[in-house]
Amino acid sequence: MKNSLVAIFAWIAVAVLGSAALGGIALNRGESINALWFITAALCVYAIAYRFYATWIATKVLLIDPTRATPAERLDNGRDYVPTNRWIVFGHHFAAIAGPGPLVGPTLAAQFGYLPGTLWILFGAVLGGCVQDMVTLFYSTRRNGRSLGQMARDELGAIGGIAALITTLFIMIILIAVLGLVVVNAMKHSPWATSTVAATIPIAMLVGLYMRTIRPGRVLEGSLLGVILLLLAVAGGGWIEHQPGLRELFDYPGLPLAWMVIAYGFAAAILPVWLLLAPRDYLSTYMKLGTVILLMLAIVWMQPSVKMPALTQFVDGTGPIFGGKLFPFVFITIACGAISGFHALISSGTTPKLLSNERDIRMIGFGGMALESFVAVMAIIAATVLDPGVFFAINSPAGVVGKEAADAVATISSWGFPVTVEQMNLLAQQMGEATLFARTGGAPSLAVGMASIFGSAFGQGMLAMWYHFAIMFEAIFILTTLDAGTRVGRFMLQDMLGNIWKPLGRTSWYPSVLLSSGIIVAAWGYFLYIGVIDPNGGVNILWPLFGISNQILAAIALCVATGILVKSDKLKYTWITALPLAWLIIVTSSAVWEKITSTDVRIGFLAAANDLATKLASGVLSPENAAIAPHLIFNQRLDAVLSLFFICMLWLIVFDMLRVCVRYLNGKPVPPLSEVPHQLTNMVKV
Amino acid sequence: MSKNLTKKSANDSLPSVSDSSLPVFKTTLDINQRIAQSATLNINKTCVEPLPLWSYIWRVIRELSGDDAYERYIAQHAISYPDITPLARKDFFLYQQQQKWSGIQRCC
Repeated sequence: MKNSLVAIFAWIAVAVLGSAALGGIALNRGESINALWFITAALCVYAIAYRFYATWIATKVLLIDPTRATPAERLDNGRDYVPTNRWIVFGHHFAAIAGPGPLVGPTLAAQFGYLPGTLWILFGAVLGGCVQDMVTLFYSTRRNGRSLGQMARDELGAIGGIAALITTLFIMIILIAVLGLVVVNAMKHSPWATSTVAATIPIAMLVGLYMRTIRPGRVLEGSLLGVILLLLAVAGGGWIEHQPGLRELFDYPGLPLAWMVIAYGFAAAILPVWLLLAPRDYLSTYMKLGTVILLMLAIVWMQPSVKMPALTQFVDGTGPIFGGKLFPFVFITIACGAISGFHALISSGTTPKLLSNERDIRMIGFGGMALESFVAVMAIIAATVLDPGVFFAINSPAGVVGKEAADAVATISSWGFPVTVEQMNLLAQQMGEATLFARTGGAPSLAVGMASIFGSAFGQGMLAMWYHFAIMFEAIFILTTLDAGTRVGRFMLQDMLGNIWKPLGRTSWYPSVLLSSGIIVAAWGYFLYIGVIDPNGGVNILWPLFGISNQILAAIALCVATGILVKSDKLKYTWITALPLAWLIIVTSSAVWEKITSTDVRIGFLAAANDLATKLASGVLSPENAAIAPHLIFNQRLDAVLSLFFICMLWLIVFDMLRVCVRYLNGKPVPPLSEVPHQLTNMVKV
Repeated sequence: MSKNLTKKSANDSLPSVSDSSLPVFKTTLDINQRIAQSATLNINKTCVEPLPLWSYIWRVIRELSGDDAYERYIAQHAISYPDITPLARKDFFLYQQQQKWSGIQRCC
């Protein structure tokens, strides 16, 4: 009794503190605000949502049953089905879901001010993303770890399954292209960044060889060696930067770098996994965890001030980084960190095969996503502690603010965010870069933000080192996602091609490997190429497309979950997935509508294509712009078709789900629930 | 060496480790024996004497990273299949990595 009273008061205190922090963030106007308030608000929101909402979903809606044997217990084969400690599963699950997305999206969305992004990250996560991950994990666990596509086919029908498969393949291609673009923009004309990123490739191979031949399977030894070499590579890059004759070898404009990334992607897809992909994944996981923890400690210790206003004038759709109004574009720009459909692919598949008890689903599904959302909050802090003028100078593409430094600072200052050429030059010099203007993509501004937080916490003398450490840290796991994504895309494509001609489906047949890898790399390579030659920075086009496809995948996962809830006679609880689903349908449909019909050339694909076509015909373009204009026009039209295709897929599966639900409620036959029958666990202490 | 590498890449479904050489043990252990035997599953259970904290942390790190995967495989194998020779450390490691990277493992 006494304990429960204490608990009640403790939770009331958390609620009051959380509301105060949120209120402070939301109502603050005109002066800078301490970043600690963001951390406090976030932790309180997650704690309350986890303790009450997630517990309620687990006990009242899903009816999680600790006495039920999990697939890992029933099918334990010591290989893919293995009962595992929940902290270990949590670690694997988090490492799998947390990629560069939650770092890049919030940085770009900071152009609207700190408030919209922060609120969407917090509430999108606890009401949408966490629920999606947890519910998908639960349903997949009850179905022996079946994948999202298989569940869609079993529960809704063939249409759902095909839609899930095709959307996954497309989102993978767009994702890889946009991440490749982020890396290219970070390495552009930066010998330090380029040489460091280049060095990660031989380092990963060395670690791969070490773990394969010298000391087979000694993962920790190999990783330690790799991490030390990576840190040396960051320092070595600084040395190269100052060596005339050597620095030119690593000084490239965007286009050659894009070709190198494309060539690299192809090589990585056909090399054996032990040589490059697996060792680099170990390194990127340690770097990611280490940097995120370091960033959190530095923010708590330094308590930097957030200088960006709560809202900027760009909520009206005139933003320099990407065009479009606050609604729906903030919800599209921040996908990972709030709700990401990709997570449904991880939550169905690998993770459910490791659970030793259903009880762990709340912590791994809901808790894992809450932690990822927290990473996104830290990214938004790192972006908004910069002077807004500096933030916009780094992120605005040359096509918007002008090519010359003087033009750019004049434009940005005229928006009310004062910045000077001297200030930018000094900053670039401190960071060891030639220039920081027009480094669109989020990685450089995040690196500057992280460097200034780390620098103030651990000493200003090492700013350039911290900056390039942050660039290396982002690049290394972007490249891991690029390799892994190309490989998975290849497997999916081979699976599909195998239906046409059997040998093409054999994952070990070399011609088929080459062909399918080539197709996947060509597909993302095309978007990367266009993104690099586009004077408006490419991110403006690619990131919204990625956000839309990722949210549509989330909507598909929520459709499957809603269908299962209805078929399990839980109609009155379907809102837990139906509400976020409805929101995603509204957001993605209106975003696609705007991307297709808007007459603003910075928003509408077709408007931009027509505008450029008119300019090309009337001969007002400069020769170099006229040369690339046909490519850009074709690409804008292709993007319009692609987004239309995505939204058709979504509506198709939504109607399919509604059809199944209505039939079920009218007592007509529907595909039966594919849940595996209850089997009592043998676990003694339940 | 380079010749070896190209050969490997030509057929990355690991010719040296065929599926049959890695027995699928439908384990005869029940979950409690499994817990007692696993490095980390048993931490909060009663069956072994409590570990010092640092040694617990070290075990968690090793299991998280997969550093002790081979030891766990051998221990499990000895109980489930005492008559079959287990895979060598290197073959097991290669097999495991191939297995891991055949599906979606990393996200945005």
